[in-house]
Amino acid sequence: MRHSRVRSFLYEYARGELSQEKGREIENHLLSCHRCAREVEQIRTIVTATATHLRTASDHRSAEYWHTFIDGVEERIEARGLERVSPLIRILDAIGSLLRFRGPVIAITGGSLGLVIVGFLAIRLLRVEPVQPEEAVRADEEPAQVVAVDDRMGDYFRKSKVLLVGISNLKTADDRPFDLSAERRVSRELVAQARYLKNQPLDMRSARLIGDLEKVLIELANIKEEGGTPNVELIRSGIQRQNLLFKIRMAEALCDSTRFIQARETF
Amino acid sequence: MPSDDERRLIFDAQEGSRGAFRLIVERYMKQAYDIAYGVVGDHDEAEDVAQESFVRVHRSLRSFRGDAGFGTWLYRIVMNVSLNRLRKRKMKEQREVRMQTQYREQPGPDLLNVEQPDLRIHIERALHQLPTLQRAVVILRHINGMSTREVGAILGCSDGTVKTHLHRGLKKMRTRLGFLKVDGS
Repeated sequence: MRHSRVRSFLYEYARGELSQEKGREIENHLLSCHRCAREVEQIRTIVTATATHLRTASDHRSAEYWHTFIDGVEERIEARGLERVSPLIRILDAIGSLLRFRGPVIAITGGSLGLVIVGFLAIRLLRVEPVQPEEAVRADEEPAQVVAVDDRMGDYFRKSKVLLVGISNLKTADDRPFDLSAERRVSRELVAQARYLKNQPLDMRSARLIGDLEKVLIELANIKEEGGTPNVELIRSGIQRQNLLFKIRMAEALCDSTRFIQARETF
Repeated sequence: MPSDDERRLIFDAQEGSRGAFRLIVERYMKQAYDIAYGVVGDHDEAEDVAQESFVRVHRSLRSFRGDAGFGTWLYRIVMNVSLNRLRKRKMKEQREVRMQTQYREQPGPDLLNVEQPDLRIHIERALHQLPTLQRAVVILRHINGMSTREVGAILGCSDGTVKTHLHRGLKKMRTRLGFLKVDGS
């Protein structure tokens, strides 16, 4: 065997890994080659030294350590498996596991919540206005009939006032007969109007005033053409005694204020 | 080539058997740890590297076809993970050195204390001062006793390259451990 080839097998020879035949060939070469012989000695030195002193690193660890080593590998594998799963899949997986293990609870909770929402919407959509008492309706409403009565009553008071003012200012110095045809006609109309108003729902003060005015107007409607001054004076005294003009003004003022308030509330 | 028993274990593990995979880990964990320690030179880091290697094995187990031995395939992974770890550590050390603007000298042979009784420390230090590939070859071939062909398969190099690196590595170690007598005392 050539020198260069022998050198390539010196390590194996020093460790005793060669076959007997190859080992004998090396030995024969070493007898004649001091360089290779020294090389073998040096290799054996390091082999012996390492075999004696260089313990394998795993011998430093205890038996318990090697038991936990396998567990550590499995933990890493599990952790790495979780890392590779995308966050979306993790969320879906969590939802799936939640439904899988707590399905009945979630179904009941979801159903209850759905019923509450449906009920709320139904109440909102099918809401029925509460029935208000009849009196409240009357108070809230502004019935055309009441408005018409007020108007007619105001008209009645205004015409009555004009008529009574005219009667009160009538000159009676010459004792000549008066032409009271117009006053009588107006009086009859006002009496008819008063009868209508008395059948309407009126406040007590207005009703009393209308009653007092009716008496005077009846007197005036029945006065004779040639009645002369005594009859007129009688009517005048009645107007003054009952203070009718003042009461009419008060009633008109009350009517106006009531209308003003109603108009403001409506507006 | 793997034995029938090992082939069966690998097949079961490929099918998802947790117990089979645990047996595989149990069978190879110490050797994987030794190789990792030989490269990185630190027990905590060796543990991390070995476990990480088994995680990679688990991930790629289905792609293992059995053309080479399972051990060869596993040790190649261990070696790759170890070398990557070593590379990162060196880069980190270089960054730290640059940041500190200090040069921290590696302990060389002149720092070896011959009078120190624990010879193992000297041998380990001499081993870890070797260049990476030489160290890998020395660890696999010399310390773990693998064949030249196996080491070549693990490191992806020829038998001749393995022999060359082994020869150079051992020569450097002998130089650094020059105080050793021929009889190994």
